[in-house]
Amino acid sequence: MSGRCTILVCGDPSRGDDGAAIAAVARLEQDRPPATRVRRVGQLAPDDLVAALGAGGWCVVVDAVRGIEPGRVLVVPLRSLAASDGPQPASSHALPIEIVIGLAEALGADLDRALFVGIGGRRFELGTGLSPEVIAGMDAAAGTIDREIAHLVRREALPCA
Amino acid sequence: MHGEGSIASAGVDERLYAVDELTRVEGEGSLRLRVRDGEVIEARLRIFEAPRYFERIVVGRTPDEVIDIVARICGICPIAYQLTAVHAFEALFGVQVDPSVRALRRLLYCGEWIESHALHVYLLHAPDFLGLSSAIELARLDRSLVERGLRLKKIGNEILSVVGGRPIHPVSLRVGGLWHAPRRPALAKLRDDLDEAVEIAQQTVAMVAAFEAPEFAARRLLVSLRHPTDYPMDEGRLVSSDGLDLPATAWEQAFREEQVEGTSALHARTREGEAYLLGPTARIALAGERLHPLARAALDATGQEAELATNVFRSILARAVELVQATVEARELLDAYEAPRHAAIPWRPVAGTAAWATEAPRGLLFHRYNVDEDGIVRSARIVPPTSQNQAAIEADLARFAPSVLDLPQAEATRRFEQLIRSYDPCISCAAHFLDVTVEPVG
Repeated sequence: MSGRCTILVCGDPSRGDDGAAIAAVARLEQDRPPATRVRRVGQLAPDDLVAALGAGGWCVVVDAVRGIEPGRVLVVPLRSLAASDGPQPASSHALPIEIVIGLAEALGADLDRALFVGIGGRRFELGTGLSPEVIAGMDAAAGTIDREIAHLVRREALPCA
Repeated sequence: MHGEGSIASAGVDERLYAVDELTRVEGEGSLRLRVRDGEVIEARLRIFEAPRYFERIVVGRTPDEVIDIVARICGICPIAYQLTAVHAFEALFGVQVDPSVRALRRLLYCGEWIESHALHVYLLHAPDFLGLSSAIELARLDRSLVERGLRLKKIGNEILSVVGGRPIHPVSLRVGGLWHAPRRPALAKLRDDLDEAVEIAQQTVAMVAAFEAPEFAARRLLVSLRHPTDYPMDEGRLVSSDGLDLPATAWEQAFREEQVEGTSALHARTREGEAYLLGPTARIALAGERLHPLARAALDATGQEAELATNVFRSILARAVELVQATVEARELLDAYEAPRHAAIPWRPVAGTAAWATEAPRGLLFHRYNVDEDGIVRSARIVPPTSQNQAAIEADLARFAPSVLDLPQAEATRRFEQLIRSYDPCISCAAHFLDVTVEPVG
């Protein structure tokens, strides 16, 4: 089976390190595999996942997270965030992540095809600019996203392979 | 987590109904209700989200900086905060914007009402009426229903994206107009979406009208804006069900805020100390004749307008009617739209008090800024709808309690939560302190 890989980019660059995902994916833009597409969603919504995972698609959700060292990168199955007491996405003031995941699944999204890449942040207050530790971790974050997509491409023989 | 208990000692029957973390509301709050021998002795909606100091953050800022900052108060209703501030400054500076700019601003506000009301009706409130614990259960039971709600919400977000520049914390509003006014072709896709949205909104009214609501008739003081021709949104006079009629700038003449122990939101009351209710229910009661004919027809078909004014559990119907209002009005604004010759006009700062009120999805939102001769903000007051509704919520909890005391405690607690959700509280917005003392270090 093959399908597209969608990168869903969460966050708001005017909330400090909440812009980490946008910055990391921007580094990737020029080199990313052609069959991947990037969607900036701000706050993740269930229908974003349903659309991305429809017709055999895969997706990688990228967001800043609280609960790990600033600049560190975390890769987990998206579904695991619903039950996790650990690091959580830093998206502001939207549906809680467990509701987003639960709704997406109830609406038919195959969450076994979704990965989460989290980038640790230090500050999420009003104001632009990333913390120095997060900037220092940008290459690693972009590299991780690239590697995960390449892995999916190899495993699933996506059209970009 | 639900905490419940019953103490029966020395002939005293005391019960505690507690929800430590309210779910399906925006932000973090808790409920605590104590009843002794059938009498409510404590009814508290606690807001323990950290205070956010926005009124302090805007001090020393220019008007356009303020508009960017206040958008961050809420991820659901940023346009309400931005537009209230824009109007306040424009009223002080004597700015008259192009009619097309006014139309675009109202279109933006319609988008926000659509996405906010769709979120609340379908994902937060509907499960209560169907005996379900969450929208996830609802989606498992009736997938198409939740898909309709998400579709409606997405169309609201699309309006914010196209007109506001992005769906979360839009960036197009500025004093004097807009940073960018879209051309007609850019708006074309929205037109088809809005045909679909009107249809879904009309279905929503029929759906929620069939919900069985707990009986709870009470007279409340209702407050909203009222406009001579339009359904209240970003312009109009401040009116109430007991005859108040003031300019939107004069909120402080009629109302006051007070600090209440155990909450990081200020409570608002009338100057005479009375709690009051804002939001869709109040708007329909005080300005229902300004509804668009399609929204009016949808409401009339339910036969529930009278109950709407007295039973707050029916607020879900008011929200659904306003979904019709916002979708139809957005469609008509698009049809009539001509791009303005100038997206913005220049303005000069004037020292004085900039004040305004608009109707956020959850109710009246008031801003007041004291501005110096360079246009720099020297002090500010921002009064969100939820902090104004908080006293009414607590009064209603106490009023409603006797009717459910015979129910099993878990069911009674569920009804209390449902009652709180009827106000669509946005706790993150409400968390603020007016008085902040900053002491110099050293």
